[in-house]
Amino acid sequence: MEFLPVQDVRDIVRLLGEVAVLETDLPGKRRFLMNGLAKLIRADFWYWVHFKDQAEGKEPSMFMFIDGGWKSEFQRMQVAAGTNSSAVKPINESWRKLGTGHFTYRAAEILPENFWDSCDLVQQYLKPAGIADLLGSNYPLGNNIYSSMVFMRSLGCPPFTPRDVCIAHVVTDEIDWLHRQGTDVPAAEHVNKLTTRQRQVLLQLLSGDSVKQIGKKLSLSNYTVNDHMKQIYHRFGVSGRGELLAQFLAGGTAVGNQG
Amino acid sequence: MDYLPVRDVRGIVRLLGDVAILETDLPGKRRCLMQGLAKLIQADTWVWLHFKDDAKDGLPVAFMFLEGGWQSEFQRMKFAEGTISPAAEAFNSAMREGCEAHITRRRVDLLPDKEWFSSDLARLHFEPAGIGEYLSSLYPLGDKVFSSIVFLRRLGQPPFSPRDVCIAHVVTEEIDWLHRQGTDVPAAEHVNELSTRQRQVLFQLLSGDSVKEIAKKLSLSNYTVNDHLKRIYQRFGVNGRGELLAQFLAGGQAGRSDPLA
Repeated sequence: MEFLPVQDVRDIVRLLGEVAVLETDLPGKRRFLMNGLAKLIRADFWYWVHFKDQAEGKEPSMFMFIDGGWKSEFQRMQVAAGTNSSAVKPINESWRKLGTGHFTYRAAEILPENFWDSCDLVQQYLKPAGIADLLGSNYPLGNNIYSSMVFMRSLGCPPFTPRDVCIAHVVTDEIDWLHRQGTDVPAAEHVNKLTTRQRQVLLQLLSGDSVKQIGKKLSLSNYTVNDHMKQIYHRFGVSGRGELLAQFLAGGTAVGNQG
Repeated sequence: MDYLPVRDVRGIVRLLGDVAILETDLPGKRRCLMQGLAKLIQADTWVWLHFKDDAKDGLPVAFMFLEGGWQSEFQRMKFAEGTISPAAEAFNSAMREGCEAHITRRRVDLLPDKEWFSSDLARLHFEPAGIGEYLSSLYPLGDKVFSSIVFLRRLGQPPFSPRDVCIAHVVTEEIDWLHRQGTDVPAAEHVNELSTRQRQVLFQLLSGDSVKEIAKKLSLSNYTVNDHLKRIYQRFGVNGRGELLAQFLAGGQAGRSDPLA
């Protein structure tokens, strides 16, 4: 698209103007901006992760996680499970073919024709959770690390339009701090060394779940979850969840002492 | 205009994104936003003031003042002189006609070429100072108080385009804090009680001129300027320039005492 309706420009300006005088820290501004952007493009749910793209065949490892708009915890879990499973592979492959720059796309449009509706991600994970269309934006931070935003619409809503893609792309492309500032790219190295199970636990840990909740969600005993947590803490050189969160939120410099 | 090029939207988003993480106070953010906006629409100079529209002598009462991009002090003086002189009346009344809502107009929208180039404002004030086209945005704050933003281009530069109008209008309209937050509308009452000469002195004071400079610019003796200063301080209930500035910048709440007590 080469032009945007002035009404949309107004909405973008108003949103960014509000962010500019928000009396909160950077994570707060990010969350506010993401909520506003989701509203602008009429997305019902969104999540935002940083991930390190691995060699072919291996799934990307994710870290740093904020999200919003979920109607139920089930919905959120389904998306987390789906995007951490092999069901997300075809999308990652199509996305890689686009190139190494910042790309914003409707998942259905970068996949082979008619593939999206019948793919595992939709059939097994999204549809049962009442989620239909998916719009992704991957912003390269260097060293194979990407800042990735995903917006989704409820089942029954029309798909995202080129206008939605354009707005999401322009806002996320021009605001570099949205991706970089206060995020700890070296932390990716640590996440990378975790096992798949440990990464699943980490993801839940970072979203504030208790040991009991994590155990239930991942069908593990509390003892096993505690074991995974110990390994994770060890890997990041922290002695508890507070310190771990600080590493992810404040950019990893807050606590130092990485063992 | 119903559409803006995505390229321009990118420029706007980048500017606002920069302002959003600027670690400065509100006046600093305002200044950054105005400078960026001027750049976006290729304006050389910008002036932003609040004024109240019910002075006894028919001239608007300006208070709160930010500006940037002047080529010379002479240019700045000629503009200030011109816009508070009767020469600006045709332009001011055209601008305020039906200004119930926020409006943004180019010079050519208000005065056709023929009328403009033969006007006193253009001939006596703008041209000698190398000022060419202007774009003006008037945002009503209620109670006859307006937030007014003027963008200027140097003499010889092309006129502002509808695209420029659209960008300036949208950005200044959707960001309400630009006009309101940290500005002290009640201060207008005090400005209103000053004489025309006192207002001219206040205008220079707020822009940081020394007594000597003010005297030279207004062709007054230092003693007379000091006299005006005393009156102004008395009217605002302050003891010096620092306190006076604080009233205008911080919203008038900082250390105000009742001027009439």
